[in-house]
Amino acid sequence: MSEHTDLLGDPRLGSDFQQRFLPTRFNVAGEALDSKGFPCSSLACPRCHLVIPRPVLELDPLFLSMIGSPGSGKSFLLASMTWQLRQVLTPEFRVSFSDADPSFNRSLNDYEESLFLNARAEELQPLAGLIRKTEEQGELYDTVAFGNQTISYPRPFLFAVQPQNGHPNEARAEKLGRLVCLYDNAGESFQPGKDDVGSPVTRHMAHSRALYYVFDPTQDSRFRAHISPAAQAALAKQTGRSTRQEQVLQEAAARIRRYARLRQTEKHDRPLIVVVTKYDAWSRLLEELVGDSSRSEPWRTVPSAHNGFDINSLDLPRIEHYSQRLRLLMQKFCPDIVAAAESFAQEVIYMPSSAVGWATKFDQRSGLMSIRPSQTRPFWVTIPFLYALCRWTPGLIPAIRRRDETP
Amino acid sequence: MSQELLYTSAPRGLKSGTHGFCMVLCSEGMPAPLATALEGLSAYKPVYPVGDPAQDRNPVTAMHVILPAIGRKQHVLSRVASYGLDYSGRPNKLAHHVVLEARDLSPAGPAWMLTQPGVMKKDWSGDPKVAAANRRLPTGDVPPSPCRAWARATGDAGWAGVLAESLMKDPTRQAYLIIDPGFDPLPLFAEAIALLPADRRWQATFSTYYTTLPAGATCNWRCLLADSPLVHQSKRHVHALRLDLTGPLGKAPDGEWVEFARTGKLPRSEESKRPAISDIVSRPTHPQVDRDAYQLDLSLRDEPTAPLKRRRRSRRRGGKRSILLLCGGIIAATGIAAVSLLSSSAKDKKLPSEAVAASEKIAEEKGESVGPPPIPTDVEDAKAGLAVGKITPGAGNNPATQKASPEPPVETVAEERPPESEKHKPTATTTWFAIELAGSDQSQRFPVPMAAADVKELQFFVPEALAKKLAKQQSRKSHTQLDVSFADKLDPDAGVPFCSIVFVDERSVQLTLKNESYRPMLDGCVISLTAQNQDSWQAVLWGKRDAPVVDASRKEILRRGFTANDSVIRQQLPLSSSFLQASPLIASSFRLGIGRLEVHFEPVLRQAHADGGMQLPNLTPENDSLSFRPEGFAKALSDLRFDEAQAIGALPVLTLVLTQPTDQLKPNNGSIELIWEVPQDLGDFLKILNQRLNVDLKPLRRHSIAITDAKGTALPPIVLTPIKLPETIAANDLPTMQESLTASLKHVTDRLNEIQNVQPKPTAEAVVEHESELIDLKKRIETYVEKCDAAIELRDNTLTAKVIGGQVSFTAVDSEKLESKVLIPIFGTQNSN
Repeated sequence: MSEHTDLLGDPRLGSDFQQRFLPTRFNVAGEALDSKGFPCSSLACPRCHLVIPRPVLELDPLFLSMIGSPGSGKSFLLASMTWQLRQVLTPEFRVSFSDADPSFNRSLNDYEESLFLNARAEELQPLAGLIRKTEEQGELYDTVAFGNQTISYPRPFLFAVQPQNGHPNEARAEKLGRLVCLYDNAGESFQPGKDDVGSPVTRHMAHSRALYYVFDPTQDSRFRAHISPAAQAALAKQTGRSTRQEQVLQEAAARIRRYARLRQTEKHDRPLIVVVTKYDAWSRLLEELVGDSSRSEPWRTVPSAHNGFDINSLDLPRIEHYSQRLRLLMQKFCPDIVAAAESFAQEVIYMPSSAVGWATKFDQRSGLMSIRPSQTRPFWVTIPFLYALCRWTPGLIPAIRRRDETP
Repeated sequence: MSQELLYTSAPRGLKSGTHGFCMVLCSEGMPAPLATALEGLSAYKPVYPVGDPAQDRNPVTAMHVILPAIGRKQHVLSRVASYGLDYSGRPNKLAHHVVLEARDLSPAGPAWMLTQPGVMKKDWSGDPKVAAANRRLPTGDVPPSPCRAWARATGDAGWAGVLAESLMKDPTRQAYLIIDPGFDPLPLFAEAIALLPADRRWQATFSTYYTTLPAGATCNWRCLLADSPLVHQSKRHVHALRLDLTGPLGKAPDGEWVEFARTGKLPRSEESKRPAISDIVSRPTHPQVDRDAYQLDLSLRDEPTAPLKRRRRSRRRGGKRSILLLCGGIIAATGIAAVSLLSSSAKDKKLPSEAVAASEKIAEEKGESVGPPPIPTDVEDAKAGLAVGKITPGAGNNPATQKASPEPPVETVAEERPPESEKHKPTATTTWFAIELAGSDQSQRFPVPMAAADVKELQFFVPEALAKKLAKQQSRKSHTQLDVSFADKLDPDAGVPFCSIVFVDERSVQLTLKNESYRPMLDGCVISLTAQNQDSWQAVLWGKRDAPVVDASRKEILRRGFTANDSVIRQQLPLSSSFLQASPLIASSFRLGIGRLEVHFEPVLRQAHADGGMQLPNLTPENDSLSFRPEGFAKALSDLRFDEAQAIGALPVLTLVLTQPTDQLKPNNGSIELIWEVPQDLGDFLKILNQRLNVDLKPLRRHSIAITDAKGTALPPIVLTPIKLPETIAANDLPTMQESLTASLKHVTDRLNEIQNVQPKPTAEAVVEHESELIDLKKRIETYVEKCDAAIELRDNTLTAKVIGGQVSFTAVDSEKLESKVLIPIFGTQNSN
């Protein structure tokens, strides 16, 4: 990407972007020189001209996609997840979790600030005002003009994950390091008919190492009938909406089959993690089944056999226990979701999650579900990510297994 | 009829199965791609979140953008605003887009239209629905008046004139208005646009709250919220106009437009230019044409040339004959105009029948339109020294040499020679060859664009080391130049001692090495054949774009650790490159006498465009030095004769010359240089075509000649755009486009006439930084300067050359090993006028 301001304007990206060029001259530092002789350090894709952050070339990518219907809480989950990962990964797991390119993560960082570093943290604020509804246009997308065809590409959130000092596999940091590419699509993008050549915004799903299907039980009338009376009352005061969320999953499955070239009878070999959000509204149902109401995070401290450091390890038996019980619950209230998930993916894991915790209230003044940001207490928001990392990127996140289980 | 689309968050959208943000209202018959493109304009970022006491002050985006969709550029008016909470209790927005047809473009302009009640929807309720496509939009006109809104916002109404003047001088120039949330800048835009002539008002694209736009959409006046990151980013647009309305702006700089904005009284200079409003209303999109300026003959030939007629007929059905004739005519005329320009000032020329026949023959052989010869393979290395030999050739073949040549016959280019003009002066043309004697080959054949009979002199530039060796045998003018005399007819045994040069046919020259011992010295070196005659011109050069000489030189330079200024490399390209296809601009450098005018070219490949590319005068330095002067360039354009295009067998491709006003270009203030940037807006010309023809005119390539003045300020560019015309259009409507073409060409001419009088500046500058290796080799730098004024300086490890005209090369020569390496290939142009 050129640097000189006279070279502003790219035929594919528009007048606001620096011109892209195929470098033929370099200085002694190996930096390409633009046509004005300025050294350039940024890279761009020769086809679409979009920026390619250097970590993309230096770390193996790990694509993770989030699927869900509009209003299911994807953005809340994502913001809460990344914030919590920043907080716990380094101290608890000796793994760094940092922005690979802050310019890519700007929106997500805004979300995090809104939820966790809010300037009016003690004031009751509508949830809808903390993170606005994700759009299908704007800053989360890049548009590229290929002649007369303009294509909108989703902009991923990029994070670098690497073992730190004290990690059992610190010496293998270069090999284990990953560039996590997270996509936050608007729920509308998963609706049938929304995938077209001009807006291939969900095709990242075919490349994802793990898929997160965000299921909002409060949008399902069958599930909603069994949640806590207080939550029901709050929901009733709002527009009690109910949507068919299995359609989103089926549409996503159809798209993945199409782009990953899977037969109809073939199951996807990547795990599908069904994240059942808004746990604060229905936690009572699961706690009864699980027999655990501790609301603690599922990891435990164990001494490392490698270096003697104490290190936290993911409690896989507990997570899987929760998954089994939650599956029973889902099977009971919304069997179509379970059927759609398990007919698509070889491995399906169910996880409860709450992006903001138990402090949400119905604000009579605004008529909206609200929260004091200072009281945000996420529950298990990092677990879908840590579980995926633990299972499918071995060596990065340690895990506790049952004695009879081979790793 | 205008079309509209409403986009908001709803429990049920117009398309089945959609909810959330979706389309809830759409005009009947709106194409799906257009609807998708409009949805892309719906991005909105509220400043104040839900629950914030100031949420009512969230800005409203009112915009007029030009959006490429369904193959056309559409004028779109949009209003996007925060819209309370949606059915799910989350923040909503309401985006309303109206796509305007040409008849909807009211003379009052886009900002006025946006302010008219009922045009833009501010709320929506009910079920999703398809709207009837019969919506009438208001029309009207707004006379210029003192800009009171500007006076209130900035303290001086004159700032509206600054904005309007910016558009008048350069419609593509961006303007950034920094505003506070809650401030409505739409009245400001309305007043500024009202200052513009009615036919320019719809060139004003703006957004009252700019956040992001899809690629390709044009929006030049952008309001940015103070303290937003976009304000910082906008500073990269160093040439943009920036007005910070968050604080006092002070007094606007005096000027006609500023005074106009203050008083509402039209500037005297503009008064006479403005058409009557009635004219604008009746013909809202057509520029006024000075009919006396130029006359372009766009009519069909009565009698198209027979060979092509036959070819067309064999490929197409008779019913399309007229279309084909016209289409071909377009292209041929450009080529013919090139001939006309480069050879003489005669305006009306007929094609020699033999040239037409030759063209037709080649076209038939290739199965496509006329093109240059095949290119030879790359040269692995390039060594260039400079010495000169002269050959005065005659016509004829040499069977012996032909037999010796291992290469297949070279296909040559048909060319037609225009009749000699009385005023025509002798000119020189130069063709640069790289000798490529691979393996045991001792011969190489070069296609020479000019006929042998016309060539008066050939010059050979050989390495100085070789020249010295030969000096004992030949007289020489200088240490780098051999002066060899030849007989009238080329004799294989005469001339250059190390090789024989013969014309094997009318248009190709064969070089045969006389002695194998010369091979190491000659391998890869550059030889220049200069022809000087009364009316010479050439259509193609030998070589190819990625000229082996240049590439090899560059590789060698890099291999030896030197850094070559890339501009030098680029300048070299046209001098040793040629092209596989006809191209509107196959030159990348040519002189204007004032500096450097470089045109980046990306020729349209025949393979990529089966229609054969496009035709324009071949504006290469080698064609005719006159053509690179402004008057020559303008004349080349004015002499385009579309009716003759068919003679060279092209298909319906029209090359358009687009230009912008030249107000900013003053004498003595500018140089012209290359940029790669392709302007988003093709300018008036394409707009005229689009609106007038109502078809999708897809540009094949765009060539932008960017101009900067001495201070580096960008001046309005010239854009050359070849466009493939639909055959029906070419047949039926092209003749009627004469006025528009004429008007645009006049702009070019005006511009170039201004350029012409600017004082000379160095045509080229080159800097070579070389390192110790050169010194270690104990080589000396050899410079070759011919027919130019050059300042050459060697200081430390840097060579600097500034050249006015002529050509210069730097060659590192090791006389012991008889090796020579090009440090800077030849650059500059040769001009013997």
